Amino acid sequence: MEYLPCEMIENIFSFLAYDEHLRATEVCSRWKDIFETRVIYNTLLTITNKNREGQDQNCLNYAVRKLAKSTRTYRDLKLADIDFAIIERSTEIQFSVMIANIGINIVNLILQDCRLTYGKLLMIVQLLKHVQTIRIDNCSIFHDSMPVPEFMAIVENIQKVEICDVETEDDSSLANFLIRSNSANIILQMNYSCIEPKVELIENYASRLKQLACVYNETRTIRRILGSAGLALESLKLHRNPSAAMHFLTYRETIATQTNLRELIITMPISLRILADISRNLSSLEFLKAKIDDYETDESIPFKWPKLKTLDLTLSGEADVMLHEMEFDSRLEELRLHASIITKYTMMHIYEKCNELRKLTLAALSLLRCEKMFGSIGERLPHLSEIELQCGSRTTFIYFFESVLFLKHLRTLAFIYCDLITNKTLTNVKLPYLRKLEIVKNVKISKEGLQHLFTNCPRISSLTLRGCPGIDDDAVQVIVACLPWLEYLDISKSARITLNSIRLIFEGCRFLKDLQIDDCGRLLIEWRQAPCYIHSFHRLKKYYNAYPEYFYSYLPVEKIGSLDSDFCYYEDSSVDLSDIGDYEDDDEPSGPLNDELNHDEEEAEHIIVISDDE
Amino acid sequence: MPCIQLQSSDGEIFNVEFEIAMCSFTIKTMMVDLDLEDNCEEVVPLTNVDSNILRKILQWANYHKDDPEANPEDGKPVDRRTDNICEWDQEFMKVDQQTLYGLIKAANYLDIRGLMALTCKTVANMMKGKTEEQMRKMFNIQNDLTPEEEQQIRQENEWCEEVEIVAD
Repeated sequence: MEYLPCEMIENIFSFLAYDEHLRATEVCSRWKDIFETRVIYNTLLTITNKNREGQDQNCLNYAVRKLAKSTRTYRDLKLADIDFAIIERSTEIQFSVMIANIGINIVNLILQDCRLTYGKLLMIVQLLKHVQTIRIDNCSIFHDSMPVPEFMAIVENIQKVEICDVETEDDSSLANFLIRSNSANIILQMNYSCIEPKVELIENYASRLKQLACVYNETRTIRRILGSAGLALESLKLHRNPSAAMHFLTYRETIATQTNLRELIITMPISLRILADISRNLSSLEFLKAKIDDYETDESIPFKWPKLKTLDLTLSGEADVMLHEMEFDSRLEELRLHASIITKYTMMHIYEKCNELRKLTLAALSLLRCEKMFGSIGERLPHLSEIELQCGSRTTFIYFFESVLFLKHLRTLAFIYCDLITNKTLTNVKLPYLRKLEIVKNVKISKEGLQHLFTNCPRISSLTLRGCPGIDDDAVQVIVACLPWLEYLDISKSARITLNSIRLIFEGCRFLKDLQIDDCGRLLIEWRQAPCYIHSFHRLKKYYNAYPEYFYSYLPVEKIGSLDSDFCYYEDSSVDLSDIGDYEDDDEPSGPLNDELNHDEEEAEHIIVISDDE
Repeated sequence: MPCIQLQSSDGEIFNVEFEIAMCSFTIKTMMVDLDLEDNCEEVVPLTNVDSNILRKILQWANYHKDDPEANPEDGKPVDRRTDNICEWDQEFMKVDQQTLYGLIKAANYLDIRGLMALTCKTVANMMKGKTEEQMRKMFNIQNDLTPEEEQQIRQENEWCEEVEIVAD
């Protein structure tokens, strides 16, 4: 190794993940030098003050001082949780030196949860000579002596500015910044109620907006901005606006005027009448997400979608009727249906009209008599690469699994609440090319089933087994033994796993990039003794490397009787079904598990939470 | 099938099909430059590669001759995954460290990009999940850092928490 030239060692290093790379710098001075002179691609430098209360000034000063001398090169910079209003003068000076030092190659800048003045923002933007995209997220920006127009002249080479949720003394200057900076692509997210002067300014420049997202804005505001927006708008997102549903008149005055829209997302319910109008007017639409609650309409025209690629519909009724009247001129690539009932006729329409589908999501309280239809999914939709199914407890999957064998491109498979997937079902599943598997809230499967499954699907690199009570240390052992190439593992809400599992995972899966172990009751108890707060996967891994002896469970493994794998769940199907409707909001574990978990959580309230919130 | 003669540093001569030899950009350039395509009699000496390594390389090139040719200038991001080594390659890479470094150097000299990536990935995989002490032991490296320097690097690494963005 010592005789290899530097470039080759550098080449080898480029295949290492970041933390491994850092560890390699601690090996010898030559490796350290090699590391410090090379550009680290795909790497984000984060400077943050989070979780460093008490000593934060010193810490920040120290870090900034270090980085001011650093010879490493970065492409992305994120500044988070830095309050420039209370920063010490010496740190501030060091900060400028640091930005000047590391800033030459920075292309992307993110400012998050910071408080700073316009002058400071200008200084940062000016020193980062090659910056192309700026994202300002949840920051407070205040006025100082810097006159705003001067500011604008300088930021003209920036290609993209993304601003969400900014608080300033006067909103006009920020909007000014945004609009006059000649940015090619302005993405504006208006959160909560925008105040009057800001709305006015945006209104004046609205003709240049390309993408607009409104979150919690009043209809009145939306109407004003869209009224003056030109036809350049390509993407519109309306999220959770205060009025419960969108009225037809409001629709006519807002969305209907934007005939060049390519992407439309409305999260408040609309009527079928509006949908009919959208299909008639917005002919260049490629992406549509909508929720329909009012089916009364006089018009029975077919819904025509000449360019649509993605359709995401949430229906409060049946899906048959809707699909029956849909016409897709182009090739629909993605279909997501959330409905109360999906029947075999729905499946028939899908097979007939969308045979080019690549991604399919079906979610319903019950999939009525669909089993046989699922049996032909492989031959009718041969291009599928992603399938997600969410259904109650009465649908069996034997035919489905027999049929998906024929899907050559299938890479992702997800099952939510599909309770008839049992260990027995999994014995015959063979999907050698599957990359990503998700099983959520399934009470039937345990290590025996997983053993069969993973032996037959060895290429899974991303695995989610969330809220499955059958997952215990033995099951984790099976996962680790069968899938050593795993990159992502989510076993959160598994009440039975212990610290031994974490040890097994770190020993067995050396390519793991992320691990989710939130809400694992027993882990929380065991972690009570932990000497420090661990909030990310990298920290956890570092901690494991430093103190591997900590990862031996000392709690006696008591048998939890009610959670045996052959435990019958049928009697609770009513509870089960009620949960499905609001799956997205409600993450509480359901059924008889509650007692177990609540007990654990009570004890766990005041202790450290291991979570990956970054 | 037209052949080309390659001579290793220790004098052994290998008869190699054009198609296989073309995996090396160095040889490809030489062939165009020296007009060897019509002239099969001449021997090309490879002074930096010994016969053991050359034999290994030809074995690899023979197996991968049908792979699509990767053009490094087409602006595609370089594949940085290390878990996508096919089984044949994994078996092929079961060699001692000296051979491995020999292969890296030869792949660099002959400019065989596929083999370069494979060998570097293999070494990177050997480094994964190891502590610095284990790495020193494995690659037989003397620790020339003073304890203070070591402490400093560790602190620096501790502070700059950097998150890898998954590049699609």
